[in-house]
Amino acid sequence: MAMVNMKNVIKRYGDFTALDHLDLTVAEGEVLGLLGPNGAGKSTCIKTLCGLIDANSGTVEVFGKAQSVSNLEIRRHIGLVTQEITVFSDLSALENLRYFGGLYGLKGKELNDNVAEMLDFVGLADRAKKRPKTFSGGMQRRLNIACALVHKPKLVIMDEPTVGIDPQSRNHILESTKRLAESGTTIIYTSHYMEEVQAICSRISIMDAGRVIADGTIDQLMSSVTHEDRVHLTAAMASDQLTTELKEIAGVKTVNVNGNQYLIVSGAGSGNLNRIMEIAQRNGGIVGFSEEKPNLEDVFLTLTGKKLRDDQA
Amino acid sequence: MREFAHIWKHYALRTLRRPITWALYLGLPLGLTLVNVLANIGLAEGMGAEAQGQMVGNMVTLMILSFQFFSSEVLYFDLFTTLRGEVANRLYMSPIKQNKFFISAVGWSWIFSILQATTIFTIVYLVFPEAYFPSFWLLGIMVLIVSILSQLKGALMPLIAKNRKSADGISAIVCFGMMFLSGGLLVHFGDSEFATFLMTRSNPLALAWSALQQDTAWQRYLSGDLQVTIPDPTNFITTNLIILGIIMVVLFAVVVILGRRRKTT
Ligand SMILES: Nc1ncnc2c1ncn2[C@@H]1O[C@H](COP(=O)(O)OP(=O)(O)O)[C@@H](O)[C@H]1O
Ligand SMILES: [Mg+2]
Repeated sequence: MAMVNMKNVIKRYGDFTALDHLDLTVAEGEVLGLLGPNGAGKSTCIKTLCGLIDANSGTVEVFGKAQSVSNLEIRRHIGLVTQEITVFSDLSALENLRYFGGLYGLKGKELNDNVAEMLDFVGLADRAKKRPKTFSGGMQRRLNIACALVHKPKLVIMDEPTVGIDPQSRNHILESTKRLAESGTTIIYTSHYMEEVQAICSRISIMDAGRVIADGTIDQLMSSVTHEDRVHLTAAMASDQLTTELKEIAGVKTVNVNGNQYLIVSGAGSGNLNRIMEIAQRNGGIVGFSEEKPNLEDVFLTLTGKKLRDDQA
Repeated sequence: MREFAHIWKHYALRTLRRPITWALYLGLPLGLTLVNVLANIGLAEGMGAEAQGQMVGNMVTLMILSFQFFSSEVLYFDLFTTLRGEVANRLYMSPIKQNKFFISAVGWSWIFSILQATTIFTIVYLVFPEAYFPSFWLLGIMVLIVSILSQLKGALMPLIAKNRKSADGISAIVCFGMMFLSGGLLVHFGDSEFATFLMTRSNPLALAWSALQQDTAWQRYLSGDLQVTIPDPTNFITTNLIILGIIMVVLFAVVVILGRRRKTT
């Protein structure tokens, strides 16, 4: 069953069209990466599918039911990790969790258990009684995540959960997200950091200017922008025999030799790396090799002619 | 009901933990009232103990009513920072109707306002036993009415003001404006009919305060303290109560209409 189904969604802010015929589906158990530059409309898309704002037109269905600002039932099963830190600074971490858990009707033992589990999950158990203003940015982000998960939602939406934090907290968050996914939770993970999305998502939708411009697994997206795989090989010893055997591999288009440096170019998705290695081993051994892979940054650049992040020179 | 209790408990925790709540909404009003009372006792020196007592009572009533209008800043401060701020997204992601958060905020602020009035009154009453006050039931009704009007004013702020700063500005103009028009800022308008209108009917504070002042004088007259005869103020007070009731209904309607419109955009 599709957990989320958005079709032809249009959302305008005044004259500005933030979502422009947006289509998005998320299947149960999937970890979908929503990747796009700042201002692409990721947060707007998320707010619409959470029912925080209504779309001007189009279909927005969550768990097979129509989502809207007035649909309160659907909310019980959604956890939104907001882009901004939305916890109360006058309440301790524990009190924040108890407050937000209570809003979902949790009480007694269930509330206590969930709160303790969440504090553990984000590694803040020893800070439970402290107020968030004494926390580092990363710890605040982690509390922000815990508050969104305390009611055990089956769909979790994370809107740029790692913006502006230290690498340690960032890894912690990525690891937690993976564990959450392994427990069967469906996740939408929004980011403009392609490494994160690449690391944890099973499928990726790339957004730009209010629409999804590409969608698929990482491999599918990569092969959509490149027509060849390039492998750089440094052989222990160059030989004509090696060159000939490499050229004979199915799918290999060209082999360039420069001293003991080889550049082997094959058709996209040929999966020739193992075969190349095996042949090189047999013909005197390997000193080094590298695979020239396009990354999501290249995918984005190819699709839009723009860089994903301005801060990347 | 359980939801309200839950929201309220955390509301109370949050506000009462802020020292600024205590300083601005209880300490400051109480301090200013006491200073004002002392100054008035000084001013009324030689007028006789009864006249002094009446003047002090009138000043305290004015202070209590005025601070009611200021105290709803607790409310719109919260409305701006949480219900219209980023935290709102998390609150509105819960399966609880948006207006329950709104109603909780208003309700909490209302209780807080009444608590403030009761505290100021009790302390002045204990410290200055010579002060004259209007009948308690009328004072109670006026505080109740003014506190409701004040919450409506607080609720209106996020609906009409762009941000908290401009809300602060509007609120200050409204509060001091009403105090000025009611003759509470030591500016006297004279005895013309228009001046009387300003001081008794021009705004909610004037309506409430003038009714209480008349009642204080009447109470003093009834107790035999006053040498002159004054007319029975019942009609005057009733009229003011009716006008205040109408203002309350109109303001409530405005808040509901604007609130609905905001929700749908
Ligand atoms: N409430 C709003 N009013 C007007 N414009 C908005 C509002 N929210 C977002 N926008 C605009 O919509 C576009 C998409 O914003 P957003 O969804 O936040 O993008 P992202 O999350 O991908 O950075 C941006 O150009 C932003 O300026
Ligand atoms: Mg965003």
